[in-house]
Amino acid sequence: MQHNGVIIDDTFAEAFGMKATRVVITAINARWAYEAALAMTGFATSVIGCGVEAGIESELEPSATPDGRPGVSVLLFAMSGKELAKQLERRTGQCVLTSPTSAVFAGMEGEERLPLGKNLRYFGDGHQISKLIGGRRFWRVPVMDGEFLAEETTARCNAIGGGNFLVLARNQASALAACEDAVVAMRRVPGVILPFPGGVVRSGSKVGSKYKALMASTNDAYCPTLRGLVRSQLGADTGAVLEIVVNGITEQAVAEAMRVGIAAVCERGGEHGIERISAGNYGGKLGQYHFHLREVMA
Amino acid sequence: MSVTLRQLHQADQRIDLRGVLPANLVGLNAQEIGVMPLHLGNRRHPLSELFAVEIDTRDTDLLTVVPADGRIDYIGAGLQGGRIEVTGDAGDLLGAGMTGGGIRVSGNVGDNAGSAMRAGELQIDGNAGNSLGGPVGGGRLGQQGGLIRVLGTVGECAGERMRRGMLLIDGDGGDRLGHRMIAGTVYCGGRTGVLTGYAMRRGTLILRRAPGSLPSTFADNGRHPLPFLALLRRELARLTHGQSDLGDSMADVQRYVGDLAYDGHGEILILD
Repeated sequence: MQHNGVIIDDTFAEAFGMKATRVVITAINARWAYEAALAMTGFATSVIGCGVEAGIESELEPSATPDGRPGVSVLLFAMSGKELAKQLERRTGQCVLTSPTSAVFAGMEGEERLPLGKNLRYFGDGHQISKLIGGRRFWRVPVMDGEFLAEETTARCNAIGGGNFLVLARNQASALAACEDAVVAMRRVPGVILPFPGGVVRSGSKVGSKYKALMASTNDAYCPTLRGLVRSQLGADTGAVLEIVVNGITEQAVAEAMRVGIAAVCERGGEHGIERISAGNYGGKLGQYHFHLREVMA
Repeated sequence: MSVTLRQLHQADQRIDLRGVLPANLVGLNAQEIGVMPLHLGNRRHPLSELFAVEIDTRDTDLLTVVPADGRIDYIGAGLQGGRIEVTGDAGDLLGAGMTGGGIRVSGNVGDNAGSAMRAGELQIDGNAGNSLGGPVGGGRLGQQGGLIRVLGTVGECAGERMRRGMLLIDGDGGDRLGHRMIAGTVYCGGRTGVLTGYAMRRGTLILRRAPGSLPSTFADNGRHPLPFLALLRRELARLTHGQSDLGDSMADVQRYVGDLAYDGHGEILILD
C-alpha cells in the first residue's frame, strides 16, 4: 500500500490494555492551568520507568469547566488501577495542589472511583471544608493563596496504551518535520494523548537485552547506525526513524489518532524525504490490541 | 394518576394529613381515598368529611391539596417520591422528614417546614414560619439533604441543626439564621436578624447583604476569592431554573469564621 509515494508496511501496532483516568485542572488563567498540567504530566512518558503515562488531552474553555475558569484536560494511564491511584494522588498533591490558583475536578464519570482530593484534604490539617454540590463532594483546602478546591474522587476506565507507528525518512530533519505535522493532527482527536516529549520518541525499544538486568533495549532493527551489523529493517536510503506512541481511552480513539497522524505524514510525501510507515509490535503475543496499519488507513 | 383534595370548609381544629402521599393513593378510587382516616384535632375522621376528592388519570404521581386555610399540618411528611402541590397556605411540618420527591406551595407555610428532610425539593412561594428545616421536636438533626427554597421571608432559626443540603431564602432570613448549624449551605437574599450563625459548628451561610451585627464569637477573616462559589452558582442556577444567582462568583467575598465558641469551622460569606 502506498500513500503519496510513502510505503505503508503490512504490519501492525501492538497495544496493551491499561487503566486510565481524566482530570480537569483549572486556574485563574490558561497559563497557570497549563503550568499545573505540565508539571503533573512531566516525567510520564512510559510506565516502565515513570509508573504512569500522562499527557494533556485538550485545552478547555471556561464554559466547559466546572468552575467557569480556563482549564486543561489531562489523561493518565497505568498498568493497574492501584498504580494509577498512587500516581494520580502523588502527582495531584505535588504538582496541582502546589500550583497557584489551581483547582482539580473529575474528568469522567463511572462506577470505579479513584481518590482525588479524598486524602489530599488532610493537608488542610483539620481546616479543610467539605461541600456537597450537585451530588458531588468537593474539598476546600486552605493554602497560602486562598483555597485549593479538589473533587473528592474521579473515575477510571479501561483504556489502551501503546498504539504507535514509525516514520522512516531519508534524514532526521525530514522525519522530525513529518512527525511534527502528525502530532498536531493527532492532538485534535479527543480521548488520546501522546506521552513522549513533543509527542515523538526516538528511542524505540525491543523486548530484552544482552544485559540480563535490562528488560528492554534499543530497537536495533530500526537504528540506522547499526545497519550492516544487525538484521536491519531499514532500506539503504533510510537515515532516521521516529516513532509516535498514542494512548487512548477507546480503541476507536487510538485508531483514529493513528489514521490522522499517518495521513499527515503521508501528506508530506516522498518528495519531502518520507519513505515508509511501519509499526512496532512484539509478534502479537504480548498486547491484546492489534492496529493493522493498512486497515487503519483503509 | 393525579389526585386533588379540596378542603370542604374551614376546620375548627388543625388537620393532620400524615400518610396522604402520592404513592399511597396509587390505584385507589375516590371512594377508597375518601375513607382514609385523618385526625382533626384529636379525633379521627374519614378524609371525605374534610376534603372533596377529585381524580384525573392523565397526570402521574401528583397530589394537589387546596386548603381552606393554613391549618393543615404534615402535608407531604415522609414523602418518598412523586409531587405535591399546595394551592394556598399550608400548616406546620410541611414535608417533614421527606426523603424524595417534590413539594411546591403557592402560599405561606407554618413552622418546621422541611423539618429533618433528607432529600427531595421543597419550594415555598410565600413565607415560612419558624425553624424552617429544623429538627423535629426533640430531634438532633435538622435538614440532612435536599433543597428547600423560600421565595418570601422566614421566621426564626431557619436552618437550625442543619447537617447537609441546601436552604435558599430569597427574602429576609429572620433571627438566628443557621442556629446551631452542623454543616450544609444556607443562602439568604434579604436582611437577617440578630444572632446570625449563632452556635454554628460548620457549614456555610451566604448572605447577599451584610447583617446589622454578628455574634462576637465570629472573627473577621477578610476578603477572598473562593472557587467553590462558582460551582455553587451553577448548581443554584440549575436548581432554580436560572432564577437564583450568586452574582459574580469570581469576585472576592467578605468572610467571617465561627462560631468560635462552638468549634469555629463555620463561615458566613457576605456577597455585597
